[in-house]
Amino acid sequence: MAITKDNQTNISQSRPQETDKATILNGLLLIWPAIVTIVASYILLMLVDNLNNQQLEAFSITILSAIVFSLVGTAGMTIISYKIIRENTTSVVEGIGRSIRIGVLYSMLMCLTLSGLSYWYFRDILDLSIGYYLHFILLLAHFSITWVVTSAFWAAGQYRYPAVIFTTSYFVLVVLIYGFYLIDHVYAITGYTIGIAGLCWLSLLGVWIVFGMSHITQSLLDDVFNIVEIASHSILWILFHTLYILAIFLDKIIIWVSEGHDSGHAIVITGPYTIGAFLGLIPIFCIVAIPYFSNRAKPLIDDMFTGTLSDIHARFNNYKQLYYRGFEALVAVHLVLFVLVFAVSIQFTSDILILGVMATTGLGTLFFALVIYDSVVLPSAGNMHIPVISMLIICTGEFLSIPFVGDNVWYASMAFTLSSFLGFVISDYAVSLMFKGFTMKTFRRLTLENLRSMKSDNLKKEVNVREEGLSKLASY
Amino acid sequence: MKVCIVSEGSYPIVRGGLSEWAHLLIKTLPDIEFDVYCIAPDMHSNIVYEKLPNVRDIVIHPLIDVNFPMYNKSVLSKVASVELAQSLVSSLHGTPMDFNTIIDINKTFKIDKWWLTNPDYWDSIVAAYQNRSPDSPFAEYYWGVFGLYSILIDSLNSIQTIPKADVYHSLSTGFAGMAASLAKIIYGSPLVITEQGLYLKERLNELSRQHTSTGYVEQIMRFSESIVRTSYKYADKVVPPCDSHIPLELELGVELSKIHRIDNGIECDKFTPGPSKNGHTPLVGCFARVVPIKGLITLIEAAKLIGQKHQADFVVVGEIQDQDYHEQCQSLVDQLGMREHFRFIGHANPLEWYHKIDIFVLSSVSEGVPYALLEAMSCGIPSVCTAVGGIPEILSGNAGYVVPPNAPDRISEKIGELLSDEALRKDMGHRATQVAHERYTIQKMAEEFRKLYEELSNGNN
Repeated sequence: MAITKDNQTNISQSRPQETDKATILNGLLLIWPAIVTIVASYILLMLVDNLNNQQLEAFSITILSAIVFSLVGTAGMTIISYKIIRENTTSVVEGIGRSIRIGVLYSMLMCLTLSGLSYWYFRDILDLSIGYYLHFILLLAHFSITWVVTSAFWAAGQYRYPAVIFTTSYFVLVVLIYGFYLIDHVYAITGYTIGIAGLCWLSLLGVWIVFGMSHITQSLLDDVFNIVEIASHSILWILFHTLYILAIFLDKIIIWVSEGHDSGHAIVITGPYTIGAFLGLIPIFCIVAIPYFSNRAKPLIDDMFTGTLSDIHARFNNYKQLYYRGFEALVAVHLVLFVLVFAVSIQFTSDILILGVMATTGLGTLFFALVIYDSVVLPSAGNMHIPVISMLIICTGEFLSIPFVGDNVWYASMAFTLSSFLGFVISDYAVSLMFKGFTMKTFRRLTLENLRSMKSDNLKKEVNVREEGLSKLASY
Repeated sequence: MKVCIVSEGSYPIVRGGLSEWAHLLIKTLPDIEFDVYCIAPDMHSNIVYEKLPNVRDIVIHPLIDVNFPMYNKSVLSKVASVELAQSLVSSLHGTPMDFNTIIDINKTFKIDKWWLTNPDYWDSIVAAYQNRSPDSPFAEYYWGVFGLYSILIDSLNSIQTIPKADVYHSLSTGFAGMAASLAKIIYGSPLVITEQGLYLKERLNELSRQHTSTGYVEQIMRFSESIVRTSYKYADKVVPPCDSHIPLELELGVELSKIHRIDNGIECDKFTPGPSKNGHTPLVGCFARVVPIKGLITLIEAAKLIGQKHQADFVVVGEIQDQDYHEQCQSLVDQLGMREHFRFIGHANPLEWYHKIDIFVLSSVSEGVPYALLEAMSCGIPSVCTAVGGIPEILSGNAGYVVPPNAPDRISEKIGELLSDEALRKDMGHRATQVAHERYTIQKMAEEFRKLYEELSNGNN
């Protein structure tokens, strides 16, 4: 059906309501593991209130270090894992098998390397016992494998299973920690480690049950070479993903080190800034609007360049409208979450620093979320470097707060917010530029790619050039 | 005087009627110096003809250039870019291009394929699309144009390698005609175009066999029409080998004053009747490259019909240039149980086979003035040929039978008549030899071309 002026406004409304519900549900399921982790952490902190400062610090440092290192360390691997699964030519199941195989190997190597490199910091600088150090290694390994396995589920479009696995595991974890804590306070970390090991193994079991064991036709060595090739083609995505995880934690890490330095403990995790910053991060769950936008945009993108030029322009206009509606939805959800979190927080604390950091970080997460939102749109015009630059600006801004946080920790939060705003301005400007002359720019970009590939081939007849151009558009 | 022969995918890299014609022409004018400029599919095309003593240079220029610079730092100015877009867009409308403007632009700015990412190129494509094909799929249109423009821009680069000459003689319109036209503008030398086959008809024939969309076929045909009209625009003389070409040439913009008719010629003293053949199964010979345009499927079907009433064997003497088509033909031969009576000989000495056959047949769907027919006539062999191109003109006066194309029953009927009547065969063969010796000698043809070259060269001076 040709897209005419009369029916162009009805295109996005023609999808069945159930699909929208499923999309929203999938979006919620996508962030459910993070919600469970935060809620469980809060419950844990409430339960283990008889730990002394030193014990609490050791407990928190071990856990948070493992989480941060594993998230940042596997950020690239989760992208590669996604590509292996989505681009596997034989079957999705084999792709999952391959990605987990290579992901586990990578996680082990990463764990070995990081734990070796961080030994002196844990033992000499932080003065943690060998026991806590070993817990850190175990947590690092299990968390890393868990993130890789979870991304495999997501790449296969299965969002329920990770949600169920995380909920079950954290429930068990809370019980385990409290149980061990009651035996002896120092064993709380043991309970946590066993719980996270359970999460990891339950995830692996889940993959086996859901997808079955598939015979993998590609050798491990081939996969190693394959991931090098995938990494080289996906370097911007990997960078973006790594920087975005880093950006979430960097301001907190800076404050932990700064306050640790001030107090002579090398690193102090518990404190008003940590509470305020993590509370301020909660509105970031507004990114649930992104899968909703992606899902509704997908049929437009898939068929973007089919049909006449009028069809293409009409489809693009719909896409643009959808983008702006998604933008508004994301802002609205963020506002609701922000108000909710703030309202709940002031019931439990009147600490000005906590509330101030929470409010500032909360505002910053809006711009941060919008940068992530734009990162879904910009690659369609080959502009993946803009989201990377935006994230780099955010990380740089946070980093530049270091000289000032000694005077007031609130500067870290301000830096996050201001740099997120700057990152948002850049990415939003890039999106508006992208929308201008979108069709021409897309064809121009593909023409450039075609010319470059012409040079590496021996001969292309006019029909092959045409066919290659059409197939590039189809895969684009 | 130096003449540059310009060809596209024929002489001297492919054997066939046109290549034989060119080779013979050069050979018969030993006092004229020739260069040969051949536009080939790629750089690695082999030269299959001996280099004659009066040929100084043979330049093979690839149709598609993959060695263009990685990045063109000297971009066209806005004005030049717009002018270039306006000049090239004629190729999408089937109208002649303005090569003078293009050459002027190229003198200041190097035109290469990176220009295809220019906004002016985009604007001109969108305008052409909306003007011509607003209801067709845009992506298909765009990539079709991209392919055609890539080749066009590569063709423009032929001006860097085409040798300087006093006269340019293009063996066809198309890309050869374009290259020769560009050379004419740059060096100011006159241009002669001869057309054994009609470029547009041959393109249409090729496209009809491809599984491709109507929109793309129209695009290619308009493009082909444009390059044909452009060649005619810059030609000083257009030399058809037969009258049947003239109406289409006039329709495509050739002025009547430019048309200069010259019959093809062969070495009649070489192609002489052989010894009489008695007491053997009659042999019917088709001398043609194994390509679809030669209508061999029709011939095979005719052979089957003949086999039901007469005893006769069939041979196809000519290079197998299209393997798929050959397999298709061979499969039909097997299917019809004709394996014992129908053979593909491949490339061979034609004279040897002219002396073996009793009847000459051509079942082509498109021809100019086929050399094989003239040679067979010179050898005194009666012919049955399809009424395409210049064949009816050649065989007028009962020098042979003319039948409609794609009509195996008519071919078989006429071959049957000749097989049944030896006297008829001899009589027709004599008349054919007379016609060949009167009108189609290489000496006559070469002399006429010499006069034409001298006239153009002197007129230019």
